Amino acid sequence: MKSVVVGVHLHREDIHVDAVAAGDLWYSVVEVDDDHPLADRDLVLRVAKIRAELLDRATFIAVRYGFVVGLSGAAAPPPPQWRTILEANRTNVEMTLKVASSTPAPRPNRKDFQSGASYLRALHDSAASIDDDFKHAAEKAVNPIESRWLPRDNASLEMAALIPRARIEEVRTAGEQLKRDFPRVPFLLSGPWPLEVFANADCE
Amino acid sequence: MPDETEELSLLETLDHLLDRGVVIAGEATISIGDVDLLYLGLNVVLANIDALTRNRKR
Repeated sequence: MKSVVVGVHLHREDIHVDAVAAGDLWYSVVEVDDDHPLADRDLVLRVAKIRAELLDRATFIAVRYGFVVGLSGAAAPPPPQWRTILEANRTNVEMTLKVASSTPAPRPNRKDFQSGASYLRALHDSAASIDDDFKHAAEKAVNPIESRWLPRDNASLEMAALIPRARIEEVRTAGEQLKRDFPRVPFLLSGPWPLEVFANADCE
Repeated sequence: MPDETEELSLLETLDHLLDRGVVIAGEATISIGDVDLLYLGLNVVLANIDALTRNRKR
């Protein structure tokens, strides 16, 4: 058997998911047969479902899908700062706001580049930009503890926002108002999500 | 048939599962005999290239 890691969390008696000790923290896991392919659709959906159920119980650090630990070996201890991050954000979650740019940057042409790597670099250098008025209004509406704008591609950006769990409904309502205020800006507000962007950034 | 909201929610969930979260590096070397033929960074197997290059740039 092998264990697909869902996330990293503090010890909790009320989390009824298989868990593997990793130092003084826990990896929540889904156990599958050794030869079970990670790309199996049903497994991906099962992990996504467990991720959502976990988040209902507690805030955790999300591990990107694909990390597997074997049952025979002990899981490597996570970086020490993860405990600090988890303790500091016990009552916080992330929400994201994806925005399509009204003026997408021109997409580079693969034929203009000798290597795939240089093409991908150019692709990300052609990041989209969005209207400052909308950007400020979005930040004001979500009113996060902390926010970070991330380029997605040449046509969209994403704001990751760290917010108190108690404010989720309030942020959703603010998102609906934002949609009324900016009817021509296509955006998607979603969440709550576990610690994804902020756990990553704090570990860099 | 799932309605549009359900499909959007599933897509968004999968996007976060595959594109977000901390990356814990795994690695393996495929060998025959004593000769190392191929090195694999296992965390790249299911992450999309777009996300990886974006994160490296950050």
